[in-house]
Amino acid sequence: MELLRIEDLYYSYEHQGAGDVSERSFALRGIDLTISPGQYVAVVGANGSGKSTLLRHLNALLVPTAGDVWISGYNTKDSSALREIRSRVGMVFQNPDTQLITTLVEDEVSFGPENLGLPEDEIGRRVDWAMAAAGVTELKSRPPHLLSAGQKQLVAVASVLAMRPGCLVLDEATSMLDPVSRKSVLDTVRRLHSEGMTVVLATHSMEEAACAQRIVVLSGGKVAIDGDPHTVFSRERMLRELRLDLPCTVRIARGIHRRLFLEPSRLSSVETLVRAVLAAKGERSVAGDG
Amino acid sequence: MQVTAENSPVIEVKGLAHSYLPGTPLETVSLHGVDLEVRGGETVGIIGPSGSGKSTLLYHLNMLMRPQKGDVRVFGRSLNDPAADAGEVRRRVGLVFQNPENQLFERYAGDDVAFGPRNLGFSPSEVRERVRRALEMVGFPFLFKDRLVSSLSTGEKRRVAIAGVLAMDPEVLVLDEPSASLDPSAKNDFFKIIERWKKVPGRAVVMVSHSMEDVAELSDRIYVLVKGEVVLTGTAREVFSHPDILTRHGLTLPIPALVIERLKAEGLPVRSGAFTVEEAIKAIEEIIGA
Repeated sequence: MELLRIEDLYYSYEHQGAGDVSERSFALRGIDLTISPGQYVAVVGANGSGKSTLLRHLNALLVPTAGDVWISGYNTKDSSALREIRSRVGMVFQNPDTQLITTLVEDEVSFGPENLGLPEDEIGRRVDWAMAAAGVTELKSRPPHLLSAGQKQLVAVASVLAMRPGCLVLDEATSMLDPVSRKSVLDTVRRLHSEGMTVVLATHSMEEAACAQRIVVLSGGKVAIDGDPHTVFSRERMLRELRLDLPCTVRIARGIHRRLFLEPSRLSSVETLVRAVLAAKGERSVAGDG
Repeated sequence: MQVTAENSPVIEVKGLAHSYLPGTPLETVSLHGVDLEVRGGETVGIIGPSGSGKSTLLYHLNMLMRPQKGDVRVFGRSLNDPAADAGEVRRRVGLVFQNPENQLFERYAGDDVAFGPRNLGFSPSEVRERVRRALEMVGFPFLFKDRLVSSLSTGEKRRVAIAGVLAMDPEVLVLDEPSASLDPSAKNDFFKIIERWKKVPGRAVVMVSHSMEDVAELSDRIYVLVKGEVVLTGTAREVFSHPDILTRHGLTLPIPALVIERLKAEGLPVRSGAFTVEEAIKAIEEIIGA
């Protein structure tokens, strides 16, 4: 069975317009999306395309204005199912300050499991595992509000992991991290995914999106492209119209593609580009030798 | 306005040290004797892992913090001098925080841009003129002043926030993570605004970023800050020719340079010193033919 099913989802925000008249503007305009257990999905789109609004529907922080969102068969409009939904879908936000509440990192990470009423040794095991997985073990006695933005984000990741959710939703969670912290979060995400975790990650980094199995491109609250990274990156013109870009390695590959034996859109990682250049170079020296 | 000669130092930081919660068991040393210089006309990039003290350093540059130890001179004036005027320093050194769109608080865009000039006591006609110029600098017509802040996209809000800083007519712009959470086109627009602003002789930019690609592309000189100390400084070429030092400290090369390094490691005779997509394309074409 699908884990997440979104059917004809519309969502509108109410805000104050000119002359104190309340206005509604639609952030999502008819989204249909099904995500199976174990998928790794990246959601990309320009600022204002609806990424965050969509993600907030996945654990019932927002409920549809029209349409339905189903999580493992629970409808997010059913408020009695909130506990079931939120124990399955864990959310990491863009700004960790919105998520940290305690005075010590260790308490922060144990907050969730304690609220689940788990036995103490189980809480301890989860907390140690989650802190190690997010690389914050050495910060455990520090106050979260005095950490850097990047360190705070890793603490937020750890505190969500401690809930052992089946689906991890990350809303631009790496945009404030340094390259190695970013890599360690992404490596953690990849490892969790390989162990069966469903991952939905919104990002502005096309390099980050390229690590997913599937990329959903949003534009104006609708799905504009939905496919594997190669399919998405082969539509350069459309991406540019949607205010997006190609990954750095694909842009390099496009500059030299006449010499490569692979389409640039397939070369979305450093390693695949290096392999393609080596193959092209090998072919050329073989031809030269002959 | 005093005109700063091209190339004369506008900011000099010497032996700057700072601890959070000094004298308590939770004391955390953030900066350990940092030296940094910014000259008129320069763009200086600061990179460093999370928690290296980058933001703390930036907050000293416009007197949000005073030196606990060491000295910060802004346009020749020591901030240790009790007569140093915070208002004057903050007018000349404009600080753009991370996610500056979150700090817009007025109802109309124009009022937010006008907030600084009004507080400086300018006449309504001068305020109006400054708002007009600042909005135009970020690519908006004057009439944009009447737009409701709540109806703007993230990219537009960020441009309004930077217009608010530009309306103070600063001589140095200090940018903390300027590209995080912007979509690729909004990011390009933002950097074009900065480049255009900087065309006036003597103006300087200090930029903290986790994006090695942005820093490589925009900076004249780079400082690498690790655990509150400068471990490396020089041009992009000089700094990025030490991948070992960078990776040891949670940083990395810009992606194009990473591709070139990997090709070299595979034994290809590709030359070093390519940090941007264009440079990498050229360097690879040299070995496999255009």
